[in-house]
Amino acid sequence: MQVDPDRQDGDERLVARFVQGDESAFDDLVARHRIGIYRLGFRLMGSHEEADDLAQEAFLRAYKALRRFRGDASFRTWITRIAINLALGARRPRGATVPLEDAPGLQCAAAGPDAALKRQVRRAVGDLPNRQRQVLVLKVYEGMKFTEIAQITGISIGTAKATFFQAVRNLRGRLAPAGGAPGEGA
Amino acid sequence: MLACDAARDRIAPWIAGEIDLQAGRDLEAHLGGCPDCSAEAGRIRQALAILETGEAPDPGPLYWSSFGPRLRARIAASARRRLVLRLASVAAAAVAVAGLAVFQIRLPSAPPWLAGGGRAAPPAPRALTVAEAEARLGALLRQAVAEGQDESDLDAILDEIAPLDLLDAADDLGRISAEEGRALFEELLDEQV
Repeated sequence: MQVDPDRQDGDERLVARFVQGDESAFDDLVARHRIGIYRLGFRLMGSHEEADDLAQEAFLRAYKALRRFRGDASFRTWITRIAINLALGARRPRGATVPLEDAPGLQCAAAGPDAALKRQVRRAVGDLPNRQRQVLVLKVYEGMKFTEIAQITGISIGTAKATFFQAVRNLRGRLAPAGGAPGEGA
Repeated sequence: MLACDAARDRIAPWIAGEIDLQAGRDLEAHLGGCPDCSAEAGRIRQALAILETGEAPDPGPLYWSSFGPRLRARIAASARRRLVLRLASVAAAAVAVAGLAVFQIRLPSAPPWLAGGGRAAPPAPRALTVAEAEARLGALLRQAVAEGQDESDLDAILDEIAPLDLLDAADDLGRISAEEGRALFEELLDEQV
């Protein structure tokens, strides 16, 4: 993940203000990070409702724990870890969830010739085992280095790399018919 | 020369740009001479390229405009549950201390011939202060979390002992009046008896 030093510095100042009693500083932190946490939640959980619930719960837990935040990691890394732990503990819904592109009143980039491929990708990622999906999402979508992924998920760097490789191999199998290249016949 | 098994383990980190220089050179040398592994690397690159097309849709401005207020409502609800739990702990502590006081009163007093040479009488019981009750409760909650109990489970437990509709009278968190506090306290005691 490319960390913008100015942004990180801004986060540190907001955390310091919050600890000193400025509630609006937390609102500013939420505004800065809600999109990223929502998108991470969407990629991990696969539906808008679950992504929203995960994002809301992650920020709630961050609010409760922020005064104890030691600053040994960036705020972004810290709240990402909270979101990952929530996703690990989340139970799959029993009923069918409405895909975002079918949810009324919400805009999304689901139209167009790539829509079917994007749905296929999303489904394939969603079918991965929890840990593989998380490492894959953090690596590909969040652009994190394996050292950061290891820190966030609580696994070793070697395990993070091996898990990433397993996830990619699994994905390749899910996205392509046997013996074909990914995307062919999709 | 790198074996195929070892080479394939390195392909994904290599494509991700997270392999050291020498390991990368070894892998590239292997791929240059191994059509099977080279084809595998190509397939993995394609899979990742397809993966990167799977962006998360934007739920729109209406959603984002409600995100902050909903979060604040969730924070306030969670804080109310904690307040109720604190009051419940005070009630529980008061009941426990009252019970202890009754027990002490009913104990037969020591005979006079023991008074001089017997053990020192136990200290008289005293009611816990709110701060002490809160500290005890906080320690119990921390212990529960340390032992693996999920915080959301704790919230579910709090919901059971103190449903939110009991708190409708609590107008402004943090500035609940003494009268409201007493009324809430009595309601909680009624619920527990």
